[in-house]
Amino acid sequence: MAGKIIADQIEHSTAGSLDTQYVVNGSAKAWARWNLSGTAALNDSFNTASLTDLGVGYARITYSSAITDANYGIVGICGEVAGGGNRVMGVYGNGGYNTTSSAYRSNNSSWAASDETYNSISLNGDLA
Amino acid sequence: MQTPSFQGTHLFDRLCWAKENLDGVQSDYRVVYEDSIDECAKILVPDPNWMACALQGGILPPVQVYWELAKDEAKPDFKKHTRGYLLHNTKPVEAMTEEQAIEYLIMKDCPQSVWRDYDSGNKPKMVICRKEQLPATREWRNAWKITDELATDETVAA
Repeated sequence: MAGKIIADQIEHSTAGSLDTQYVVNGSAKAWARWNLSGTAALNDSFNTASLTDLGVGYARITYSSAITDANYGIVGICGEVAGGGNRVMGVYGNGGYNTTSSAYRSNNSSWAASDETYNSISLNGDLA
Repeated sequence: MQTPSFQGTHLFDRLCWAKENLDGVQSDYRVVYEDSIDECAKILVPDPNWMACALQGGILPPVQVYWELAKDEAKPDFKKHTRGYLLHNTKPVEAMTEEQAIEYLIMKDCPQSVWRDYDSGNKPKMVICRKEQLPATREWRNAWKITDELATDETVAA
């Protein structure tokens, strides 16, 4: 691609230097935000191909550029855009967890699966 | 906008280009499918940025690449992908229509057991519809099934 810079290290004038592998390894490889209230919809994303509405509170996200193995890490939160609170999101293994997809369950404050207006994940790992 | 020649470029880099240069496309199409008799109908929603890539052309790899990676991952001794280059080196697919993109997405993200013979049982296991044909609210969502009597102008799940 045009404008490519190849460097193993970047250096700040006073704050020191950093190996670019930290930047590559530490950058999220996919993210998504979706709404499971009403008609399920993806609001925005990166490296995401689809959302599957699996039922109340459950959703599966698929990825375009596969991850090299299934040992990647996910950070996810859910809640209500307006009001609400005490929501928790977890990985839903029965819905699929592999190098091109992962499934999630959003819980309300009673630990029941619930359709939230705000669900988001960020994936860190190595790309295939 | 012309897509750069991306064959041999890492798919992630192509997606970066697409995110910067293409507007997302919110498709009205949804895919309703049933892959287990004990579970409710599932609803596949295309990603807007992915759809933009599909319509643009020259970005996404052929869907068969994902099947090859899935085969590798299904092997009992799988540890990590060793054929990720298939995503990046295989010639990208040309621009698709929205309908072709949905077909591609079905073959990528729905179980093969659903789409390979979706219409061979007592009733369809999969239906492509518009989002307006889904129930307007999520009442009884965990009991939704593809309706037994399908008509193109009616609700497809209830």
